[in-house]
Amino acid sequence: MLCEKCMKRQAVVHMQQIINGQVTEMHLCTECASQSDSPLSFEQFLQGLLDVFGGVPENLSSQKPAAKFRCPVCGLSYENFKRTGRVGCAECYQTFRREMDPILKNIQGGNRHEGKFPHKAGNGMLSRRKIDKLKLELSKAVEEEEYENAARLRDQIRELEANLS
Amino acid sequence: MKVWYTDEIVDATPVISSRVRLARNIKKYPFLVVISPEQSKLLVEEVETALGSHFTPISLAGKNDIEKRGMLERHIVSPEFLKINKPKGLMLQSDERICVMVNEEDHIRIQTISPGDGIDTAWDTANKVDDLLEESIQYAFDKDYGYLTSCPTNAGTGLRASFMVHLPMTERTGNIRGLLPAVSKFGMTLRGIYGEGTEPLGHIYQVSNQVTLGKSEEDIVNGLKTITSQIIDNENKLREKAMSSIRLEMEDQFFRAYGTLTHARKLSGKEAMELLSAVRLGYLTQTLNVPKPGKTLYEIMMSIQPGSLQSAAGRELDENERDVFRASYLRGMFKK
Repeated sequence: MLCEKCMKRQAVVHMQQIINGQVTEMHLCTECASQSDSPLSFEQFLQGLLDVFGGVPENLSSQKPAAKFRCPVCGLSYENFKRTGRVGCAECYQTFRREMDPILKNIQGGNRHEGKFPHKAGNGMLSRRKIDKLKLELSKAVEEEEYENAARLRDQIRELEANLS
Repeated sequence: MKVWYTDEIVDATPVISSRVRLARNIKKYPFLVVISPEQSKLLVEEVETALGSHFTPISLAGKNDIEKRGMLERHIVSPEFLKINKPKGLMLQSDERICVMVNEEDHIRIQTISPGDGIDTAWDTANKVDDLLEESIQYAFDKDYGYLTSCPTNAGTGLRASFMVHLPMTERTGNIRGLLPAVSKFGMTLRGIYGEGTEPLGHIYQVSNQVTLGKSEEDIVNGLKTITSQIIDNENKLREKAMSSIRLEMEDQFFRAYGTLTHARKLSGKEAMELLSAVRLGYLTQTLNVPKPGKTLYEIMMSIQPGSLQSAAGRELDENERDVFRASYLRGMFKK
């Protein structure tokens, strides 16, 4: 397949864009895809998502100007994160949490980690996982009107949550 | 163990190799865009100490551009890693199955490769290296977002699992066009031999997961296995079909490719990869009944890339010289 833009080189970057249910496909070569006006660079893709899903709400940015959107630990600005798609430190995930959360949900399978965790994060992580699982069981029990079972699950959850805090 | 690409299993099925990459960062250091050269130095030292005597640190400072490119072609380092001009570290095991890049896009990139369909081994090994590092290092970790990475698209497991697959029939029949949208529906992606944005050479592709958050490592690896096995089934079916309907044409192609490889005086990288792809298929279908070269075909494929070729020549070669040297190298390989 030839690149749609230059019509010379082989298309190697294939992108599907879905906007309001309208599917558009693009097939480009590496050169054309890496050109700055192409909508395909990762940074621009992420920037687009930040604008659509997160962004800086205007009323909020007028109340608390840019300062709020700078990481207090590493000093990276929200603008910088938006431009490069890279965070500056672990704390940035907290600083930009509100903006990042919906994006992660959108581009990833979910916004909650299900995999391995450091042993040092230990029991807390295990309890959290267990609580999540029990909550699912609880809503199922309520749905199926198994109230005795639901009460038992509720108590278990409370106990675990109390231990966590 | 022997170096992964010298294992004959890399030529035995459409699956050449299996790879796992884990992205990790250390809590106390800023990430790549912010980290200072001084902090980078401390970071490298800390990771080298944590890995201890299990690995040999490789100094990049003593390597020229040709050698660095050769390492890229052998999948030891990533293109991003070579571009970064802050202090960085590289730890490698002699069989090239495990390598750890320090101060790449993330502080730590653990990479493991297994020949053929060995994704479980690759994951298991990467997991162990991760455990070893964790004994002395405190990772940047969040209960919701998992392992925190420089780019949020890697957060969560920080895992990228991939298979390198040879799909000559899928490409030739145009099936490949439908494959990308299909795999992307399952949170997977398909790319060229040297990663993002590279052209598929010799009909070789990488199938890998894109989603890293919200799924466990096991689920990601199993999902990848399911998708890849379907891609491989399809490739096998297309091959069997061609071998029964146009057998003579297929054989003709294998022998012509072999003839060119054993006699040509000048070969471009692209042409050589196409010829090696045909020869690989010829051996796979057991119709190309000529002696196999002394190295695996995948090792030969890596050896004829510009960096490795110039490393072997021991000097810089222009494009024309490279094509001549490549043809001569390949004649030597197949005549032994």
